[in-house]
Amino acid sequence: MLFNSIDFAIFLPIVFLLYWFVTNKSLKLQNLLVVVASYVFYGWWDWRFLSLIVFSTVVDYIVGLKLVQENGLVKRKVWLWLSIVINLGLLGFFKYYNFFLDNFITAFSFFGTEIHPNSLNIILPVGISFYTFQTLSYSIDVYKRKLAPTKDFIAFSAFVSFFPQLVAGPIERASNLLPQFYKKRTFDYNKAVDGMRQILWGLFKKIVIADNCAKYANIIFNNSDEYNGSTLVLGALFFTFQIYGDFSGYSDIAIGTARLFGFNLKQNFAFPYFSRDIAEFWRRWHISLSTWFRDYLYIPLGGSRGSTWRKVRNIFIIFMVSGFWHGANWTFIIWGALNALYFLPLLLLKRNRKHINNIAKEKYFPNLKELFQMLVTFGLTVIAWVFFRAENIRHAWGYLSEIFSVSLFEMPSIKQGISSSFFIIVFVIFFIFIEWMSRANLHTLERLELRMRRPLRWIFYILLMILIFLYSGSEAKNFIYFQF
Amino acid sequence: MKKFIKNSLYITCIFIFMVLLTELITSVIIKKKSSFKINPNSKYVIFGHSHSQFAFNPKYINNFSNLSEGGESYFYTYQKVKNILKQNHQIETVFIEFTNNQIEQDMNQWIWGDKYITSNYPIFSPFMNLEDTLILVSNNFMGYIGIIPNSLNDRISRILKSDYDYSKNLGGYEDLMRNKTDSLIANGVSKKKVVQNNSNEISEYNMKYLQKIIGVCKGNKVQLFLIRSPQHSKYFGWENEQKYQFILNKNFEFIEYLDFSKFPLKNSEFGDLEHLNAKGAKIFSEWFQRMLKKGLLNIENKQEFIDNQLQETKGL
Repeated sequence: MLFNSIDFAIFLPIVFLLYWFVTNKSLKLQNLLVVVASYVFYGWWDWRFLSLIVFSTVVDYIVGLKLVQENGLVKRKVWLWLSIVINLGLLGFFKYYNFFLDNFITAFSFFGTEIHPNSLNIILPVGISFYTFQTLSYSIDVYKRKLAPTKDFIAFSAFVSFFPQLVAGPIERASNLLPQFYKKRTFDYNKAVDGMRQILWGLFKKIVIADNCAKYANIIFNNSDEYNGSTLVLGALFFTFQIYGDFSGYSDIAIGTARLFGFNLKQNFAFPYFSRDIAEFWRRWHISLSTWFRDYLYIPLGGSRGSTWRKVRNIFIIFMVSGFWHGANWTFIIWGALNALYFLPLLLLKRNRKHINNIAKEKYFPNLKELFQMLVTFGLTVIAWVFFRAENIRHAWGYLSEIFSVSLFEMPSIKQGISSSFFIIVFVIFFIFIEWMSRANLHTLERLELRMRRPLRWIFYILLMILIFLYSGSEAKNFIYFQF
Repeated sequence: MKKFIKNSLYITCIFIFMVLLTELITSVIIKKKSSFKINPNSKYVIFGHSHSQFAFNPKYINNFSNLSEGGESYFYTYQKVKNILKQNHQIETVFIEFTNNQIEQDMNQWIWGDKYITSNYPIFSPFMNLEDTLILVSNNFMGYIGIIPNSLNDRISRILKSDYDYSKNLGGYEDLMRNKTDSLIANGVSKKKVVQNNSNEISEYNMKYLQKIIGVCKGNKVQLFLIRSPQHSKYFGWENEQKYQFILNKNFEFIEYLDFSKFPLKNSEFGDLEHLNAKGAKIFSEWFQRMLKKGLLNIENKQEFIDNQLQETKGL
């Protein structure tokens, strides 16, 4: 079920009313409702893949219990590896089987040997990359004795399948989300209103910004051979806002929805396009994934300790694995490597934690230096997104070559479809302005009651609702991160 | 909780009210300012679906406009006809394509099926009355709800751009360059579709809106003809010929009917079994122009005249 569909608009109020009015007397019943609602939510897309979630839930539940029962290090390791192998095995099979197969075939043919193994027509189960990481973190934390394993199977099932964040995150840690299923939730008006605001802004980002930018980004990327450099820059900018609006919009809706049910999920985006360097960007973009890789991969590898060679190796590993997590395509790996290259000088010069505060804190405008830093960082990010969006490396390379040619200084070629992009450019400017004004908040419309009087606030809500409605179209469009 | 639900309901009501208000205001503005003006020299116009769209090339017919659109049911043609006749008083004669597939129940999908409602409703919604809207709502509620935002968006864009020219949304002749006739016959496609068309059901809605179109034409005092464009002898639509003739004689007895369906053309002059390609359209349109010159529309027994002319053409 998509957040931006009529189905979800009907589903959410029903679950909300059942949750607070029917099952509110019993915590177990409330958790059970969350599990059932989550399975309905997921099964709406394809019920067959529910079995994978159930299987993953059962495996990690048992592993958690075994890890606390066993004291011997070897046996505990065996249980942990069982969880890792099963979870990553499923992920590997569904997501990477054909990628590795194709690359093996290419490698063998390079050495003159033709092999013809069967490739499989595998459907990628939505959200598998997200819930796999979520359950893995539980097993690893229990193994490291950072977390006590749960004996409550329903609570654990609810933690794994919690519908707001099941298919595209934020990737929650068991230490944050699981304990919330143990405690009775009480309805909090302010929290619920705040959740509604976050949902509203998330829908605006997805439907008005991302989906409209997608139209133009797709036209330009899919016909990049026909456009000059300046138009390709425009295409890359459209994609830059598309991916941010799409993914952070999803996270906003997920976090807001969870708040309606009394849950607090982690912030996943913190206005990343206002970053002053790439290190800051990565502290603000897809935070739940970045911190997951930091805690479960980067630090175990040694992090930023040790020799320079080791630091460089670790940075490349974490960024390239992060790229590969996004999809089985070399474009994602190059995207990761490029970000590693951006990040490396900051780490080696020990400047990677220079910008911890918000930009232009307590000021309306950044100073010239900050503005320059922000534009450079944004520009580097846009270049990297070209690899992320391109069909293959050759496409990305051709795209960037045209951007860095003399045609960059030509006027953007306004062809059919591009000319009507005026309104969307206006919306993007409005969007950047509102996000800039809110950059010190946890989310854009947080504490709006302090900034706007009620009548103005309601006018603002209605305006957003109308814009969302007008651009909602006859068919809900998928979120980009569903394919990951 | 009460306060939360109360406020949520309030804001939802205000939102719905604003949407309805926008719908109303935009509808009034567009109705008032919309332009359906066509070529001022067009005395003859033809409406219909793809059959007439690909058959009548106005390049070869004097004072003629082809306003047919592929996949168009009479429900949407009616919206066009009423506005065009209101704003184009030079029109003297209206031809309406009436062919075998237009009586079939499948035509209902051409009215409210998702694909058709999506492409037509945003254009014609400001001109629809309550009865029209209720047909869509009652037969495809979700499709209707889903298309409202697109429709409203389209209206607002038109108003913001001051673009009230609907003449570019009226369809028109297109050159069909393909020639699949031989391969279709070889693959037996003509037989496959016959099975689907064997039902006795007809599209009551399509017939009802054809009657409405006739009413509009009468009201505007224009000469009206139902016509059937040329179609291949192996066209699957022939299968319901008996039913077609029955409907024609029963429902449209008093409307003049011109049947060009047996116009002699080679396989290479058809795009497929039901559409002429550009080559066929040129031959047919030139012949049609000659018929108009010979006074076809004023002759007493028109079909006999057409048949005789077709025999002559065949003889050539």
